[in-house]
Amino acid sequence: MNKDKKGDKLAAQVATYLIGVAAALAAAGVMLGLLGKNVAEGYSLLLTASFGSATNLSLFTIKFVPLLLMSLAFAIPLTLKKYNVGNEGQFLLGAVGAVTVAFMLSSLPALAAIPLLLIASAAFGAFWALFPALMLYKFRVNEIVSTILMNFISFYLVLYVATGPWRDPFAGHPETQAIPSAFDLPVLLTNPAINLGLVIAVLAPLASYYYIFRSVQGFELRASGANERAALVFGVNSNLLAPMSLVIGGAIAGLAGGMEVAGLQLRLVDGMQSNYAALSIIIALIAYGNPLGVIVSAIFITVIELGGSAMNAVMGVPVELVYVIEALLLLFILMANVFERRRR
Amino acid sequence: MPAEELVRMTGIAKRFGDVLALDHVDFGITGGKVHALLGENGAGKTTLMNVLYGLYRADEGRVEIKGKEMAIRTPRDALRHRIAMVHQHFRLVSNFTSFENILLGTGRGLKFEARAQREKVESIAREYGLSVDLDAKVKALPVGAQQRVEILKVLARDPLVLILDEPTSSLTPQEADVLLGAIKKLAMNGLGVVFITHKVREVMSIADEITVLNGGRVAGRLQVSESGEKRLVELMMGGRGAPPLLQAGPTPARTSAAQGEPALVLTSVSVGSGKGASAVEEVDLAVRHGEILGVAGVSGNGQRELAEAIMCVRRAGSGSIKLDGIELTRLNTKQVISMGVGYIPEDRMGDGILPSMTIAENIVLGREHSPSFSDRFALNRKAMGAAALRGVEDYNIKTTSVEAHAGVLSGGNVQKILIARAFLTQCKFLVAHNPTRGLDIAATDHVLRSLVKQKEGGAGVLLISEDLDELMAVSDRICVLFKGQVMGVVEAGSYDKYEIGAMMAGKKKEASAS
Repeated sequence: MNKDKKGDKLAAQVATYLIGVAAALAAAGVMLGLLGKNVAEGYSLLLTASFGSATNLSLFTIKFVPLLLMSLAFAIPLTLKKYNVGNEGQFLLGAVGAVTVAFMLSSLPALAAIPLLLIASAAFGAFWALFPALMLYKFRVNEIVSTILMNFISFYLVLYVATGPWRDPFAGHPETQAIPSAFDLPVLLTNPAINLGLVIAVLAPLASYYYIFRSVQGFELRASGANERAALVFGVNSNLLAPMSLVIGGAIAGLAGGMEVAGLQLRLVDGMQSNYAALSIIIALIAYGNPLGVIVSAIFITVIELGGSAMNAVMGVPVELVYVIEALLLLFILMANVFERRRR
Repeated sequence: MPAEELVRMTGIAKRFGDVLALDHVDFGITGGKVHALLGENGAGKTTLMNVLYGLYRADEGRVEIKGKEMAIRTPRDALRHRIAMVHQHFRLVSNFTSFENILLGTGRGLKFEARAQREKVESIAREYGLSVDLDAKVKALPVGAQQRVEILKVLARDPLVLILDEPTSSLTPQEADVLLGAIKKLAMNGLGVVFITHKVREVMSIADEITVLNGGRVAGRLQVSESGEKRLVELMMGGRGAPPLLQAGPTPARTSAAQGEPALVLTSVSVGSGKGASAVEEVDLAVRHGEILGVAGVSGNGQRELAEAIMCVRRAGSGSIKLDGIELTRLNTKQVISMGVGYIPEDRMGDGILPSMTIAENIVLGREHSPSFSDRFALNRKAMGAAALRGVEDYNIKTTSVEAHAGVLSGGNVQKILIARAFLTQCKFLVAHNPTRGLDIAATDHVLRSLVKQKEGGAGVLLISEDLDELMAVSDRICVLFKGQVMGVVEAGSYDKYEIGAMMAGKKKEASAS
């Protein structure tokens, strides 16, 4: 009977999401129609752009992997209601860490190079989250403010590195030369192109789920998020856990940045963070920070992103429409949740 | 003035999932009368009134106001019909002053009529003896005063019907008397008052009419003149249950066998209140193993600070707190808990419950590190579930599953979770602050028996309570706190309510006694 109850609840939750998604897609269709475009073509592009061919599937993973990791970097501190909007800067620091290791230890063999690069990028990302974490711990500085400010610093740090000794003088854009090939993420499949990054990206939410919902520390994170004061009264050291969760988030974001370098760009590029940070926040919030939910919402947002680009390229739909759909999606799902709660 | 029927509820039914919380209940409110709504935890008293107040929508039934059928969908509708409710858990903005809280929601357009409102509130407060510091921030006020703010807030809106949900559950006897007096006066002025409670004694002293609920059904409808305490208890409990411990009267004088080793020893402990002044001053206390030391006092006289200093939630400014010879002031809360100290905090919503987590997780909170519930990294969810199930059964927590969220439970059931959490294992020491607050007869009795069982198992128990009957029923000694100082300690066998009452008001115990 308990199982049924749980099943019912899950079903209600899924139904809520589906309603939200359907409403957002319907709104998108209306807007396409108003723009005088072929609505059916738009919908079909939305799907084929991600799954239509092996190449498209490769494009999908390229976008999906960093988005998923960035979302986890936001989701883990969200467990105790901390907002790691600094995952953008932490991502960039991870990328800086990756090229730093690659250029400074350029003669390493692949077997040592890749683990080292991944560790370095996670460490750089964690390091970037350490300052906001310390300020939170020592002076209770709001992490939203401090991590955003760290983002600004990171943009200039990337520029500094990308225009420094490792720069690529022929690029015409601030970026470094390619890293030595020993540091490239191993390719597992060529068509669709899949590298080690996808494996890590799929394992990460499973590990995060286990950490949050099955470990003692995760229990304490959730307890702090549920009622910080009650957790404190019963011995949970929220003052320490909150900063720590930011550092964990920083490490994951850093890992995403490092893998972006070693798996895709093969160099540090100014602006390589794209719009991952904003999307990751939407993804994590839609999933209410649940790492398994993050997988689903990350797939969904990636599909919309790619579908939107395709609509832009093929049908001449303005890219702004994609942002509108994403925003509507978040709003509709949040609204559907409110209604679902009120119904009870 | 002829008694006018203000509200009539007919055939009200409400389901929560599979549970029929209200089974076609009829209920009426008459102007100038106090209608007591009596019943145990989960009997549906609050649910019924939440329907009238627009917080829940009934599945069936109709509500008439002055003979006309009305649909009340939100509390705003209820307030428009001049129906007001004071909830058991206060809904105040803690950063606002009392007066700002009262003003909240009264503004028209962009303007508050602050001056007129203030005069009105002051005159209401005078008339009903509900004195409160209007310019103090709510968070600085003791629970009793916060409740007066809540009541003033609804009275300022000129209600016809006033619903009070368990209004005395957090009050001292003196405060309760003042409140009951105010309620009588309100009824005399023509208001219809609904008094939700599980305390039979109060019903007898204040109500005109009584409706007893049991399991969502009306178990009896009586005039106060035709009922007796015993009859009401029978109706409430549906004819079951043992004679409660409270009825047995004060603990007899102790035998010498009860003298155990000292467990908790406090030596000139002072605790700051966070506002400069110290809340606890130079307190010396010793609690032995196998002893319940009761702490009496009006709420806000340092009890909370004392409990939190022992739990290391708050740092003692000076002095020493030793448990079995180990200095606690240098430890953190987690270490104190793992020494075997159980804690039942006063504020169950603020300091106790994790609403978005499961009942099992709530019961285990504080002991998640202990080897019985985890290895070094992962939780042992099976053991957690089994322990929680034991707690749910022992304390009769009304839920379909230990995996249900704690946030949906009623106040009494939340309290039971905190009790189950504290009694998860035999404690070495137990700090229990108002452990029976908001519980019904059977649950109160069960908690008090559990305290005694812990004591018999060798635990030292510090029982902080505002309920003197309860303290006298189970304590081996009672110490009285006033403004953070110990006014005196009374031994079992020589309890005198008036003597303790005088100490609670700040009179030091005469040295000649005992």
